[in-house]
Amino acid sequence: MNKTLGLTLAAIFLFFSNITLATTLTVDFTLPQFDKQDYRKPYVAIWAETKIDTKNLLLWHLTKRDNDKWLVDIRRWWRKEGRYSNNKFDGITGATKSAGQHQVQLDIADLKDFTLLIEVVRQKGGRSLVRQRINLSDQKNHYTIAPSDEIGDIKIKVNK
Amino acid sequence: MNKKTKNTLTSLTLLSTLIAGQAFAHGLNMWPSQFNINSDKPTSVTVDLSFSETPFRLDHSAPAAGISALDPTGKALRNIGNIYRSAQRTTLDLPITQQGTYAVRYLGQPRYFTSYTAGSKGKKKRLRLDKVASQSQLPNSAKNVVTKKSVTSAVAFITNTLPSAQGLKATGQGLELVPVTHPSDYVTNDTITMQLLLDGQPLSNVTAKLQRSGAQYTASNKPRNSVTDANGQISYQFEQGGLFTLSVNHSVKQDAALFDEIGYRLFYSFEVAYE
Repeated sequence: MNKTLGLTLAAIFLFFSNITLATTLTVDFTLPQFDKQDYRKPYVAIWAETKIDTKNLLLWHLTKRDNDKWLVDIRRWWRKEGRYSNNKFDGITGATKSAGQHQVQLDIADLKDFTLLIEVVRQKGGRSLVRQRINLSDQKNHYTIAPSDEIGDIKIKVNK
Repeated sequence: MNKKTKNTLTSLTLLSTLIAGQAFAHGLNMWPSQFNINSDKPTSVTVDLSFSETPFRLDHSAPAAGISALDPTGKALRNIGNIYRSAQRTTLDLPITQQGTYAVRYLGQPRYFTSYTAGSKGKKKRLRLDKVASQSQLPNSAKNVVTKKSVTSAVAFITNTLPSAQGLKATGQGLELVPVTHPSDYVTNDTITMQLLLDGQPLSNVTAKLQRSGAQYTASNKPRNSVTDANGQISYQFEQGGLFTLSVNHSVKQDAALFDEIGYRLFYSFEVAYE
């Protein structure tokens, strides 16, 4: 009986410790509405930068273009991440999204101390680049970033 | 001679002085329509060349023969695309077929100028001839005769997707600019470093002039001057992005059959992205 309980507890412990390893971020943000006839949905990139590396987390662009020449206009993302990816962004890409509320889950794998960057670029519109330093050892699980031209309130939740 | 004729003559003299001076005074700008592109498929980037007093303000076209390009492996491109020479600019559509950094170069035909002083007032004169050819043209009273060989060159870099370093390398001949910071990494608030080489060796203590495009719309179009350090390097930081041209004039005394001095004029156009 004790042995069974011990094994069960060990299994539960292992199960939860695995979950703990796969840290994710829940990012809530708004793409503002622009009342324009020629409105185009913006390109959005989210990625993490550490002192030595970068990790691509999300890219919304015109996916039907297999050779998207406008990616260079997501300027910082392009320089830090895009140009090294050989135009292969499997698993993180999606089509551009409409204005409104969006929630995304981002798998940050083993990242512990990093800066989360969000860059939004809109055709015939503006560009916003925002960042938030996140350190998992801080015990802080909620972050907010103030709105700017092309992106509204951003709420980041760390799911450890 | 009435006043009007005299004025016309004065302006004609002035005009001819200006025309004669053009080759010396005008800078060469050579810049691509895009410095950074992303293309899996063969594409092309348009490159413009124009000699002008104000950077990037088209004035005089450049001879097509001086243009060459290196592919990202550092090999000379056999086909640099169609070249069009119009009155005020020369344009080519550089074929881009590989990932990496391409270099576009311009190397003009050398020009020779023999300067001297003559007459009782020691007036400065100049012949557009080399040391040998000028011998028969010089008056007997010519003094301070110096022949200068002038060479104009320009360089620009275009990166398709992945930056590479092979095409950035120097040839080891003449005055050259070599990027230290990769040109596709030129962004605001970062330190941008470049190096000047003379025959492959770092060139220290030389002034480089920096000018931004659109100087004609500003209150003062004075260039920003910087001096190269002991390693021949100069560094910049920019608060605002833009299109820039760096120019360097440097003369070296040299005892040659056709000249006494060689004058290099180097121009480097680059873009700084706003981040």
